[in-house]
Amino acid sequence: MKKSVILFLVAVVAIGAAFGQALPVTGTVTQVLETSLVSGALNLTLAGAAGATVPSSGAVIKIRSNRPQWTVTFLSSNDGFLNPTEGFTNASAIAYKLRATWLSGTVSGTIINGLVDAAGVTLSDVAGPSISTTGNGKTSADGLSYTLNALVVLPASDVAMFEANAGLTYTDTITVTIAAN
Amino acid sequence: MKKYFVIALLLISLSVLHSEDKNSVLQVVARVSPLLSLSMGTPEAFDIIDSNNNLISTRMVGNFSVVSNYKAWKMLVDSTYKTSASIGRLKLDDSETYIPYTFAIKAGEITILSEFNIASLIQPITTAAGASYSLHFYFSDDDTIWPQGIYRDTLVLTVTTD
Repeated sequence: MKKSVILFLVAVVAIGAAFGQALPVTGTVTQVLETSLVSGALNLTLAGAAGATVPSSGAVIKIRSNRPQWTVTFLSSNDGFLNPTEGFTNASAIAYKLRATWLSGTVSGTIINGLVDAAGVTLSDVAGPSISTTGNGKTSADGLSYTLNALVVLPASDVAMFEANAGLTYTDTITVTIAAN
Repeated sequence: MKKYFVIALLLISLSVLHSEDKNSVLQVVARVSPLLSLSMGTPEAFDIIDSNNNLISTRMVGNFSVVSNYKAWKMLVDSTYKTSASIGRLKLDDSETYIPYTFAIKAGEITILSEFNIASLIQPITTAAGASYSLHFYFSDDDTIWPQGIYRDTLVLTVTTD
């Protein structure tokens, strides 16, 4: 009496059957969801004609994500104001805006840049202005890069000027966060 | 007997490991370029004797403008022919004849300075268009008959943050 054993094979064709062993193969994909400052800082020298807009030096920020939908948010520690340094706290704070200009990189989906306005965007919004994606927003390994500039409008000719003094600077800190949608 | 070793079953599993989201911090730093300047046209000559040969008691000599983004700045005035901190003199050309005067620098109706080499009241930050000031001379007539001619003095106006 013949006995036959039928083996159901998955995935691989076997010629003959002699010996089989399960071989687990495990792959891992680490999530990439990050922003990084590639270069620069936002430095401003406030000088020029009354009412003129003064841009800062540029800082380049890179966004990398293997999550399809993400949001990068910009939060000012001073609600969009540059505060005078210690010792000059009676000087008036200076309002400013932030602009993000696309530099390089693409995604298949759509990028919504909430800081694209050439005049800059105020940072006093509690939620903070953002750059986000719809559809497939996964970036390449090189990521998306944006140039960031702070913008200050000088006072009009009939308004008191910003205070100057040796040792006096005006500062703010912007925290850039990224999260998957 | 040939033996064939084959992979009879493949088990593939995939997993996604989460890493911490990496955020960035950006500093914004601004400095204001200092501005401190004074501009004044050359005052025109003016009569100081009226038709009765009396000294005219008050003369507004001229206006000038100061631009400053320093919060507390001051003004100083010096005179070539002054005799004291409060009394200047106009000298007759080619003569040693002098007409004394006192003076005031005003911001609107407020006198901010009326003595030579004594700092003015502290002045605030101006607009980009500048703050306007006027220079006034005051004379006291004592019935002196002043020789005809041109009388001069040189005033040096200085603005300073010190």
